[in-house]
Amino acid sequence: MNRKQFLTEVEQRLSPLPAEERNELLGDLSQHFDYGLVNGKSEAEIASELGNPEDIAREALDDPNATWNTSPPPLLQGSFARNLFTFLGLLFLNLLISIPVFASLWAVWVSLAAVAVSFIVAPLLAVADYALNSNLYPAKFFFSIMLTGIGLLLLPGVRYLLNLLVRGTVRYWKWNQTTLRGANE
Amino acid sequence: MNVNIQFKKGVLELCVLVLIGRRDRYGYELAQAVSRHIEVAEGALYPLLRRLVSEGYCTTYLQESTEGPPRKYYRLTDAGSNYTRILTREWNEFVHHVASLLEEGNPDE
Repeated sequence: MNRKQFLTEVEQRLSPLPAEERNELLGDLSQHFDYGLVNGKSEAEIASELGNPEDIAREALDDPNATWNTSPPPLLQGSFARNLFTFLGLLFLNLLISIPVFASLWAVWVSLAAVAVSFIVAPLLAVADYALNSNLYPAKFFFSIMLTGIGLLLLPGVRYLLNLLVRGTVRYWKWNQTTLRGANE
Repeated sequence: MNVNIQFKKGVLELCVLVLIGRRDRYGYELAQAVSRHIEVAEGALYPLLRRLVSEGYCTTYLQESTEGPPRKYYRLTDAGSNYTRILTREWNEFVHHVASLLEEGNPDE
């Protein structure tokens, strides 16, 4: 961990403190790095001697049980330009890559589902064939029953893929929304 | 391991007070002096120093140095030296009691 990372880690956890106290502590730690560097230590060495940023923050907050959620800090205030670029970026990503990819994935699923369904109803088709042409080929019936079996075996796979696709699509949609909202806030 | 850390944290305050009592020192110097004797996370020093100042046991002043920015020195106040005396006495008693307990063996058995 280098100096900047270390100080950022401490600073992020000190938000409950008044700005003055926070800056004082960060100033002290920063000076500690200065002196350590003068004494020929590396930033990583100094950071490891200082210990865990969380412990320092706990100490400073005088709260031994303090915990923090470790999610990255919220984005800074988005400027108009950044919002615009986020929007354009998402637009191009979606038009050029995501929509074609999702569309083809869904198309693959639809054809798989169609194959499974037509396999399963194959005996009905054989019956219809017999009714129309009145030629009885027992082999045809046996073959169609075999196809029903294969179709039934395919069904769980089709269902699994449907789940996967729905979840993937929903997640991607939500990701789009949060990305846009993150840029707006 | 964890127990050890708790021990050291408690002792750190006493060590820092004694060190500042001998002469005024700045943060980095204190960290060096302490870690020469006990292995501590030096980062704990700064919140501790801030607390000593806010409780009136120490004051700070800036002094120019030949290299780098002016240094923040810590000086013990009268309240601080009283507090150090009390802590030292308590520490010595505590250590004495624990030591005699450890040396006693098992007379109860």
